[in-house]
Amino acid sequence: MDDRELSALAAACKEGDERSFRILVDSLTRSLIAVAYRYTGDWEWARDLTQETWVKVYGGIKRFDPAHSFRAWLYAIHRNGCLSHLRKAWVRHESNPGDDPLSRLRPVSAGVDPEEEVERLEFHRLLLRGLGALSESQRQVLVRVDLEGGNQKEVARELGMKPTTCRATLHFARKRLATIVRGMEERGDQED
Amino acid sequence: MTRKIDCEVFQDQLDALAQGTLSEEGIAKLRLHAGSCRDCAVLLRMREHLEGLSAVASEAAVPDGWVSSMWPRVQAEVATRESCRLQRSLRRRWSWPVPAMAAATLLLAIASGLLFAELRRLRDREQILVQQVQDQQRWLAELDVRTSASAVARTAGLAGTSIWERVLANRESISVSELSGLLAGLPPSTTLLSAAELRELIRRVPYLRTGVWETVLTEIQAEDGLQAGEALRLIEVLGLPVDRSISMARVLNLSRLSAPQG
Repeated sequence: MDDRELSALAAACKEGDERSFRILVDSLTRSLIAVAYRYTGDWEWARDLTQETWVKVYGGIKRFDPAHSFRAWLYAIHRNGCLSHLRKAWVRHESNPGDDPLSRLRPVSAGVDPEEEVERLEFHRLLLRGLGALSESQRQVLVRVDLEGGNQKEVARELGMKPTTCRATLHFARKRLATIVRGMEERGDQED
Repeated sequence: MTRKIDCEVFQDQLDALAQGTLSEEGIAKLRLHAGSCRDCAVLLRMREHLEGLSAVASEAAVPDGWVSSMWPRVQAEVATRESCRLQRSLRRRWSWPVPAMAAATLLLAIASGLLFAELRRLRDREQILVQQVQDQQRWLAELDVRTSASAVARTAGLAGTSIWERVLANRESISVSELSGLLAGLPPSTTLLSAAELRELIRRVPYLRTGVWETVLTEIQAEDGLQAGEALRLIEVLGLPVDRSISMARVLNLSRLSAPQG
Protein backbone atom coordinates (compact mmCIF):
# COMPACT_ATOMS: atom_id res chain seq x y z
CA MET A 1 0.00 0.00 0.00
CA ASP A 2 1.57 3.30 -1.04
CA ASP A 3 1.71 6.56 0.91
CA ARG A 4 -1.25 8.10 -0.94
CA GLU A 5 -3.54 5.17 -0.14
CA LEU A 6 -2.46 5.19 3.47
CA SER A 7 -3.09 8.93 3.80
CA ALA A 8 -6.56 8.51 2.23
CA LEU A 9 -7.40 5.80 4.76
CA ALA A 10 -6.13 8.01 7.56
CA ALA A 11 -8.31 10.87 6.30
CA ALA A 12 -11.31 8.51 6.45
CA CYS A 13 -10.34 7.55 10.01
CA LYS A 14 -10.30 11.21 10.86
CA GLU A 15 -13.97 11.33 9.80
CA GLY A 16 -14.73 8.46 12.19
CA ASP A 17 -14.42 5.47 9.85
CA GLU A 18 -13.22 2.64 12.10
CA ARG A 19 -13.09 0.15 9.23
CA SER A 20 -10.36 2.25 7.61
CA PHE A 21 -8.46 2.32 10.88
CA ARG A 22 -8.58 -1.45 11.06
CA ILE A 23 -7.17 -1.69 7.52
CA LEU A 24 -4.30 0.59 8.57
CA VAL A 25 -3.62 -1.55 11.63
CA ASP A 26 -3.63 -4.77 9.65
CA SER A 27 -1.39 -3.29 6.97
CA LEU A 28 1.31 -1.68 9.11
CA THR A 29 1.45 -3.67 12.36
CA ARG A 30 4.00 -6.20 11.12
CA SER A 31 6.40 -3.45 10.07
CA LEU A 32 5.90 -1.53 13.33
CA ILE A 33 6.56 -4.62 15.46
CA ALA A 34 9.73 -5.27 13.47
CA VAL A 35 10.97 -1.72 14.02
CA ALA A 36 10.17 -1.88 17.73
CA TYR A 37 11.96 -5.21 17.96
CA ARG A 38 15.10 -3.64 16.50
CA TYR A 39 14.90 -0.99 19.22
CA THR A 40 14.17 -3.30 22.12
CA GLY A 41 15.43 -6.72 21.05
CA ASP A 42 12.37 -8.00 22.86
CA TRP A 43 9.32 -9.35 21.00
CA GLU A 44 6.88 -8.84 23.83
CA TRP A 45 7.96 -5.27 24.29
CA ALA A 46 7.88 -4.76 20.52
CA ARG A 47 4.27 -5.94 20.45
CA ASP A 48 3.30 -3.76 23.44
CA LEU A 49 5.05 -0.69 22.02
CA THR A 50 3.27 -1.20 18.69
CA GLN A 51 -0.08 -1.48 20.45
CA GLU A 52 0.72 1.71 22.36
CA THR A 53 1.55 3.45 19.09
CA TRP A 54 -1.83 2.48 17.61
CA VAL A 55 -3.65 3.66 20.73
CA LYS A 56 -1.87 7.02 20.44
CA VAL A 57 -2.70 7.25 16.74
CA TYR A 58 -6.37 6.38 17.47
CA GLY A 59 -6.55 9.15 20.05
CA GLY A 60 -4.66 11.69 17.95
CA ILE A 61 -5.94 10.97 14.46
CA LYS A 62 -7.84 14.28 14.50
CA ARG A 63 -4.48 16.05 14.52
CA PHE A 64 -3.24 14.25 11.39
CA ASP A 65 -2.92 16.49 8.34
CA PRO A 66 -3.93 14.45 5.22
CA ALA A 67 -1.70 16.74 3.13
CA HIS A 68 1.30 14.96 4.67
CA SER A 69 2.50 11.37 4.64
CA PHE A 70 0.61 9.17 7.11
CA ARG A 71 3.48 6.68 7.13
CA ALA A 72 5.99 9.38 8.18
CA TRP A 73 3.57 10.65 10.87
CA LEU A 74 2.96 7.11 12.16
CA TYR A 75 6.65 6.18 12.24
CA ALA A 76 7.55 9.43 14.01
CA ILE A 77 5.06 8.54 16.77
CA HIS A 78 6.33 4.97 16.89
CA ARG A 79 9.99 6.02 16.98
CA ASN A 80 9.29 8.46 19.83
CA GLY A 81 7.53 5.71 21.77
CA CYS A 82 10.47 3.33 21.26
CA LEU A 83 13.05 5.97 22.19
CA SER A 84 11.01 6.88 25.25
CA HIS A 85 11.10 3.22 26.23
CA LEU A 86 14.87 3.15 25.73
CA ARG A 87 15.33 6.33 27.77
CA LYS A 88 13.46 4.75 30.67
CA ALA A 89 15.71 1.74 30.31
CA TRP A 90 18.82 3.97 30.32
CA VAL A 91 17.63 5.71 33.45
CA ARG A 92 16.78 2.46 35.20
CA HIS A 93 19.84 0.69 33.80
CA GLU A 94 17.68 -2.05 32.42
CA SER A 95 16.80 -2.40 28.80
CA ASN A 96 14.26 -5.15 29.10
CA PRO A 97 12.02 -5.54 32.10
CA GLY A 98 10.81 -9.06 32.70
CA ASP A 99 12.27 -11.64 35.00
CA ASP A 100 12.44 -14.59 32.70
CA PRO A 101 14.71 -14.11 29.66
CA LEU A 102 13.10 -17.11 27.99
CA SER A 103 9.80 -15.24 27.84
CA ARG A 104 11.50 -12.90 25.40
CA LEU A 105 12.55 -15.50 22.88
CA ARG A 106 11.62 -15.06 19.27
CA PRO A 107 8.02 -16.02 18.60
CA VAL A 108 9.24 -18.22 15.75
CA SER A 109 11.80 -20.31 17.53
CA ALA A 110 12.36 -23.13 15.05
CA GLY A 111 16.05 -23.73 14.66
CA VAL A 112 16.99 -21.18 17.33
CA ASP A 113 19.08 -22.36 20.24
CA PRO A 114 17.53 -20.97 23.48
CA GLU A 115 20.96 -20.42 25.02
CA GLU A 116 22.13 -18.48 21.99
CA GLU A 117 18.91 -16.51 22.09
CA VAL A 118 19.41 -15.56 25.75
CA GLU A 119 23.00 -14.57 24.99
CA ARG A 120 21.79 -12.49 22.05
CA LEU A 121 19.23 -10.74 24.29
CA GLU A 122 21.86 -9.97 26.89
CA PHE A 123 24.15 -8.51 24.26
CA HIS A 124 21.28 -6.43 22.92
CA ARG A 125 20.67 -5.16 26.44
CA LEU A 126 24.31 -4.03 26.65
CA LEU A 127 24.00 -2.26 23.31
CA LEU A 128 20.89 -0.39 24.45
CA ARG A 129 22.56 0.62 27.70
CA GLY A 130 25.61 1.76 25.77
CA LEU A 131 23.40 3.92 23.54
CA GLY A 132 22.48 5.96 26.57
CA ALA A 133 26.11 7.00 26.98
CA LEU A 134 26.47 8.36 23.43
CA SER A 135 26.03 12.01 22.50
CA GLU A 136 22.61 12.97 21.15
CA SER A 137 23.79 13.29 17.53
CA GLN A 138 25.74 10.03 17.67
CA ARG A 139 22.73 8.25 19.14
CA GLN A 140 20.33 9.67 16.55
CA VAL A 141 22.48 8.59 13.63
CA LEU A 142 23.27 5.14 15.03
CA VAL A 143 19.63 4.44 15.93
CA ARG A 144 18.32 5.56 12.54
CA VAL A 145 20.94 3.72 10.50
CA ASP A 146 21.88 0.64 12.52
CA LEU A 147 18.72 -0.02 14.52
CA GLU A 148 16.10 1.08 12.00
CA GLY A 149 18.16 0.00 9.00
CA GLY A 150 17.85 3.42 7.36
CA ASN A 151 19.86 4.62 4.39
CA GLN A 152 22.73 6.89 5.45
CA LYS A 153 21.97 9.55 2.84
CA GLU A 154 18.27 9.68 3.73
CA VAL A 155 19.05 9.78 7.45
CA ALA A 156 21.51 12.65 6.84
CA ARG A 157 18.82 14.53 4.93
CA GLU A 158 16.18 13.90 7.63
CA LEU A 159 18.56 15.03 10.39
CA GLY A 160 19.79 18.05 8.40
CA MET A 161 23.39 16.81 8.16
CA LYS A 162 25.86 16.58 5.31
CA PRO A 163 26.29 12.92 4.19
CA THR A 164 29.98 13.06 5.07
CA THR A 165 29.18 14.37 8.55
CA CYS A 166 26.60 11.64 8.97
CA ARG A 167 29.10 8.98 7.91
CA ALA A 168 31.79 10.32 10.27
CA THR A 169 29.31 10.57 13.14
CA LEU A 170 28.20 6.98 12.55
CA HIS A 171 31.82 5.79 12.46
CA PHE A 172 32.69 7.39 15.80
CA ALA A 173 29.37 6.35 17.33
CA ARG A 174 30.04 2.70 16.49
CA LYS A 175 33.61 2.89 17.86
CA ARG A 176 32.49 4.53 21.05
CA LEU A 177 29.60 2.11 21.52
CA ALA A 178 31.95 -0.84 21.01
CA THR A 179 34.31 0.57 23.65
CA ILE A 180 31.44 1.08 26.09
CA VAL A 181 30.03 -2.41 25.50
CA ARG A 182 33.46 -3.97 25.92
CA GLY A 183 33.93 -2.08 29.18
CA MET A 184 30.54 -3.27 30.47
CA GLU A 185 31.30 -6.86 29.48
CA GLU A 186 34.62 -6.75 31.31
CA ARG A 187 32.97 -5.32 34.42
CA GLY A 188 30.31 -8.00 34.25
CA ASP A 189 27.46 -5.50 33.86
CA GLN A 190 25.42 -8.18 32.14
CA GLU A 191 24.48 -9.48 35.55
CA ASP A 192 22.77 -6.21 36.60
CA MET B 1 51.70 0.51 14.19
CA THR B 2 50.70 -2.45 12.06
CA ARG B 3 47.84 -3.17 14.43
CA LYS B 4 46.56 0.39 14.14
CA ILE B 5 46.54 0.21 10.35
CA ASP B 6 44.77 -3.11 10.56
CA CYS B 7 42.12 -1.62 12.85
CA GLU B 8 41.43 1.26 10.47
CA VAL B 9 41.21 -1.11 7.51
CA PHE B 10 38.99 -3.38 9.57
CA GLN B 11 36.61 -0.57 10.40
CA ASP B 12 36.51 0.65 6.80
CA GLN B 13 35.60 -2.84 5.62
CA LEU B 14 33.14 -3.45 8.43
CA ASP B 15 29.94 -2.65 6.53
CA ALA B 16 30.99 -4.87 3.64
CA LEU B 17 31.91 -7.67 6.05
CA ALA B 18 28.67 -7.45 8.00
CA GLN B 19 26.58 -7.35 4.79
CA GLY B 20 28.51 -10.29 3.33
CA THR B 21 29.74 -8.46 0.28
CA LEU B 22 33.43 -8.97 1.07
CA SER B 23 35.53 -11.59 -0.69
CA GLU B 24 36.36 -14.85 1.10
CA GLU B 25 40.00 -13.82 1.36
CA GLY B 26 39.11 -10.39 2.77
CA ILE B 27 36.74 -11.96 5.28
CA ALA B 28 39.42 -14.38 6.45
CA LYS B 29 41.90 -11.53 6.99
CA LEU B 30 39.43 -9.43 8.92
CA ARG B 31 38.25 -12.32 11.09
CA LEU B 32 41.88 -13.09 11.83
CA HIS B 33 42.31 -9.49 12.97
CA ALA B 34 39.13 -9.63 15.06
CA GLY B 35 40.54 -12.71 16.77
CA SER B 36 43.60 -10.76 17.91
CA CYS B 37 42.00 -7.35 18.64
CA ARG B 38 39.33 -7.16 21.32
CA ASP B 39 38.08 -3.72 20.28
CA CYS B 40 37.53 -4.82 16.70
CA ALA B 41 36.02 -8.12 17.89
CA VAL B 42 33.33 -6.25 19.83
CA LEU B 43 32.79 -3.93 16.88
CA LEU B 44 32.27 -6.89 14.58
CA ARG B 45 29.97 -8.64 17.01
CA MET B 46 27.96 -5.45 17.39
CA ARG B 47 27.63 -4.94 13.66
CA GLU B 48 26.65 -8.57 13.08
CA HIS B 49 24.10 -8.35 15.84
CA LEU B 50 22.55 -5.21 14.40
CA GLU B 51 22.57 -6.63 10.89
CA GLY B 52 20.83 -9.70 12.28
CA LEU B 53 17.96 -7.43 13.18
CA SER B 54 17.45 -6.52 9.52
CA ALA B 55 14.03 -5.34 8.62
CA VAL B 56 13.11 -8.23 6.36
CA ALA B 57 14.16 -10.89 8.83
CA SER B 58 12.32 -9.20 11.70
CA GLU B 59 9.10 -8.66 9.78
CA ALA B 60 9.15 -12.24 8.62
CA ALA B 61 9.53 -13.37 12.21
CA VAL B 62 6.40 -11.58 13.36
CA PRO B 63 3.63 -14.18 13.75
CA ASP B 64 0.46 -13.65 11.74
CA GLY B 65 -1.58 -14.04 14.91
CA TRP B 66 0.07 -10.96 16.40
CA VAL B 67 -0.95 -8.91 13.39
CA SER B 68 -4.56 -10.10 13.32
CA SER B 69 -4.96 -9.70 17.09
CA MET B 70 -3.61 -6.15 17.14
CA TRP B 71 -6.88 -4.41 16.25
CA PRO B 72 -8.93 -6.14 19.02
CA ARG B 73 -6.14 -5.36 21.47
CA VAL B 74 -6.13 -1.70 20.46
CA GLN B 75 -9.93 -1.54 20.74
CA ALA B 76 -9.87 -3.13 24.21
CA GLU B 77 -7.09 -0.77 25.37
CA VAL B 78 -8.92 2.28 24.03
CA ALA B 79 -12.13 1.17 25.80
CA THR B 80 -10.27 0.58 29.07
CA ARG B 81 -8.61 3.99 28.94
CA GLU B 82 -11.89 5.68 28.06
CA SER B 83 -13.52 3.99 31.06
CA CYS B 84 -10.65 5.09 33.33
CA ARG B 85 -10.89 8.61 31.95
CA LEU B 86 -14.63 8.73 32.73
CA GLN B 87 -14.04 7.43 36.23
CA ARG B 88 -11.33 10.03 36.80
CA SER B 89 -13.66 12.69 35.49
CA LEU B 90 -16.42 11.57 37.86
CA ARG B 91 -14.00 11.46 40.76
CA ARG B 92 -12.79 14.95 39.87
CA ARG B 93 -16.40 16.17 39.74
CA TRP B 94 -17.03 14.91 43.27
CA SER B 95 -13.58 15.62 44.49
CA TRP B 96 -14.24 19.12 45.85
CA PRO B 97 -17.68 18.90 47.59
CA VAL B 98 -16.63 16.08 49.89
CA PRO B 99 -13.53 17.82 51.28
CA ALA B 100 -15.49 21.08 51.43
CA MET B 101 -18.24 19.46 53.49
CA ALA B 102 -15.68 17.79 55.70
CA ALA B 103 -13.95 21.13 56.24
CA ALA B 104 -17.29 22.83 57.02
CA THR B 105 -18.17 20.10 59.53
CA LEU B 106 -14.79 20.46 61.14
CA LEU B 107 -15.15 24.22 61.39
CA LEU B 108 -18.64 23.82 62.88
CA ALA B 109 -17.31 21.38 65.45
CA ILE B 110 -14.48 23.75 66.37
CA ALA B 111 -16.88 26.74 66.62
CA SER B 112 -19.26 24.72 68.82
CA GLY B 113 -16.39 23.67 71.02
CA LEU B 114 -15.24 27.27 71.42
CA LEU B 115 -18.80 28.41 72.15
CA PHE B 116 -19.32 25.76 74.82
CA ALA B 117 -15.93 26.54 76.33
CA GLU B 118 -16.88 30.23 76.55
CA LEU B 119 -20.23 29.37 78.12
CA ARG B 120 -18.51 27.14 80.64
CA ARG B 121 -16.04 29.91 81.45
CA LEU B 122 -18.87 32.43 81.97
CA ARG B 123 -20.74 29.97 84.19
CA ASP B 124 -17.64 29.43 86.32
CA ARG B 125 -17.15 33.19 86.57
CA GLU B 126 -20.77 33.61 87.60
CA GLN B 127 -20.36 31.02 90.33
CA ILE B 128 -17.25 32.80 91.60
CA LEU B 129 -19.12 36.12 91.69
CA VAL B 130 -22.09 34.53 93.49
CA GLN B 131 -19.67 33.05 96.00
CA GLN B 132 -18.00 36.46 96.48
CA VAL B 133 -21.39 38.14 97.02
CA GLN B 134 -22.33 35.48 99.56
CA ASP B 135 -18.98 35.95 101.32
CA GLN B 136 -19.52 39.72 101.39
CA GLN B 137 -23.01 39.32 102.78
CA ARG B 138 -21.78 36.91 105.44
CA TRP B 139 -18.96 39.29 106.34
CA LEU B 140 -21.37 42.22 106.56
CA ALA B 141 -23.64 40.18 108.81
CA GLU B 142 -20.69 39.41 111.06
CA LEU B 143 -19.77 43.09 111.02
CA ASP B 144 -23.30 43.95 112.19
CA VAL B 145 -22.88 41.56 115.09
CA ARG B 146 -19.54 43.13 115.99
CA THR B 147 -21.04 46.60 115.99
CA SER B 148 -23.71 45.51 118.52
CA ALA B 149 -23.49 46.89 122.06
CA SER B 150 -21.07 44.39 123.50
CA ALA B 151 -18.51 44.93 120.75
CA VAL B 152 -18.86 48.67 120.37
CA ALA B 153 -15.96 49.48 122.63
CA ARG B 154 -13.49 47.13 120.89
CA THR B 155 -14.46 48.50 117.54
CA ALA B 156 -14.36 52.04 118.80
CA GLY B 157 -10.97 51.56 120.47
CA LEU B 158 -9.46 50.49 117.22
CA ALA B 159 -11.05 53.33 115.31
CA GLY B 160 -8.80 56.18 116.53
CA THR B 161 -9.64 59.65 117.79
CA SER B 162 -13.15 59.93 116.36
CA ILE B 163 -14.42 56.82 118.16
CA TRP B 164 -16.97 58.72 120.21
CA GLU B 165 -18.50 60.43 117.24
CA ARG B 166 -18.82 57.28 115.15
CA VAL B 167 -19.72 54.64 117.72
CA LEU B 168 -21.65 56.59 120.29
CA ALA B 169 -23.12 59.24 118.02
CA ASN B 170 -26.71 58.20 118.63
CA ARG B 171 -26.37 58.26 122.39
CA GLU B 172 -27.24 61.34 124.46
CA SER B 173 -25.29 60.25 127.50
CA ILE B 174 -23.18 57.45 128.85
CA SER B 175 -22.90 56.30 132.44
CA VAL B 176 -19.60 55.86 134.25
CA SER B 177 -20.29 52.14 134.59
CA GLU B 178 -20.97 51.87 130.85
CA LEU B 179 -17.82 53.80 130.09
CA SER B 180 -15.85 51.57 132.48
CA GLY B 181 -17.38 48.51 130.79
CA LEU B 182 -16.44 49.79 127.38
CA LEU B 183 -12.86 50.55 128.49
CA ALA B 184 -12.57 47.18 130.23
CA GLY B 185 -13.52 45.50 126.93
CA LEU B 186 -10.50 47.04 125.26
CA PRO B 187 -6.93 45.75 125.52
CA PRO B 188 -5.27 47.95 128.22
CA SER B 189 -2.60 49.17 125.80
CA THR B 190 -5.15 50.48 123.31
CA THR B 191 -4.33 54.12 122.70
CA LEU B 192 -7.39 56.30 123.12
CA LEU B 193 -5.55 59.60 122.79
CA SER B 194 -2.09 60.00 121.37
CA ALA B 195 0.48 62.12 123.24
CA ALA B 196 -0.12 65.01 120.83
CA GLU B 197 -3.87 64.76 121.23
CA LEU B 198 -3.56 64.66 125.02
CA ARG B 199 -1.18 67.66 125.06
CA GLU B 200 -3.60 69.53 122.84
CA LEU B 201 -6.46 68.65 125.16
CA ILE B 202 -4.49 69.86 128.20
CA ARG B 203 -3.50 73.02 126.40
CA ARG B 204 -7.07 73.81 125.44
CA VAL B 205 -8.73 72.84 128.73
CA PRO B 206 -7.07 75.07 131.37
CA TYR B 207 -8.34 73.30 134.48
CA LEU B 208 -6.53 70.13 133.45
CA ARG B 209 -3.33 72.01 134.21
CA THR B 210 -4.27 72.67 137.82
CA GLY B 211 -4.65 70.85 141.13
CA VAL B 212 -5.47 67.22 141.17
CA TRP B 213 -5.43 66.89 137.40
CA GLU B 214 -1.73 67.63 137.32
CA THR B 215 -1.18 64.75 139.75
CA VAL B 216 -3.54 62.52 137.80
CA LEU B 217 -1.80 63.25 134.50
CA THR B 218 1.53 62.58 136.10
CA GLU B 219 0.10 59.35 137.46
CA ILE B 220 -1.02 58.14 134.10
CA GLN B 221 2.24 59.18 132.44
CA ALA B 222 0.58 61.49 129.94
CA GLU B 223 3.77 61.76 127.87
CA ASP B 224 2.86 58.69 125.83
CA GLY B 225 -0.82 59.55 125.47
CA LEU B 226 -3.84 57.94 127.13
CA GLN B 227 -4.32 54.16 126.98
CA ALA B 228 -7.50 52.27 127.85
CA GLY B 229 -5.98 50.83 131.05
CA GLU B 230 -4.91 54.31 132.17
CA ALA B 231 -8.39 55.69 131.46
CA LEU B 232 -9.87 53.02 133.72
CA ARG B 233 -7.39 53.88 136.47
CA LEU B 234 -8.20 57.55 135.93
CA ILE B 235 -11.89 56.84 136.58
CA GLU B 236 -10.96 55.02 139.78
CA VAL B 237 -8.58 57.83 140.90
CA LEU B 238 -11.25 60.44 140.30
CA GLY B 239 -13.69 58.29 142.31
CA LEU B 240 -16.62 58.95 140.01
CA PRO B 241 -19.93 57.32 141.05
CA VAL B 242 -20.78 54.38 138.78
CA ASP B 243 -24.28 55.62 138.03
CA ARG B 244 -23.15 59.08 137.11
CA SER B 245 -24.26 60.03 133.65
CA ILE B 246 -21.85 61.82 131.40
CA SER B 247 -23.34 63.85 128.57
CA MET B 248 -22.25 62.64 125.17
CA ALA B 249 -21.97 66.27 124.16
CA ARG B 250 -19.19 66.69 126.73
CA VAL B 251 -17.44 63.53 125.63
CA LEU B 252 -17.64 64.56 121.97
CA ASN B 253 -16.52 68.06 122.83
CA LEU B 254 -13.45 66.65 124.62
CA SER B 255 -12.81 64.46 121.59
CA ARG B 256 -12.91 67.45 119.25
CA LEU B 257 -10.75 69.50 121.57
CA SER B 258 -8.08 66.77 121.54
CA ALA B 259 -7.91 66.78 117.74
CA PRO B 260 -4.81 68.71 116.63
CA GLN B 261 -5.73 71.94 114.91
CA GLY B 262 -4.96 72.06 111.20
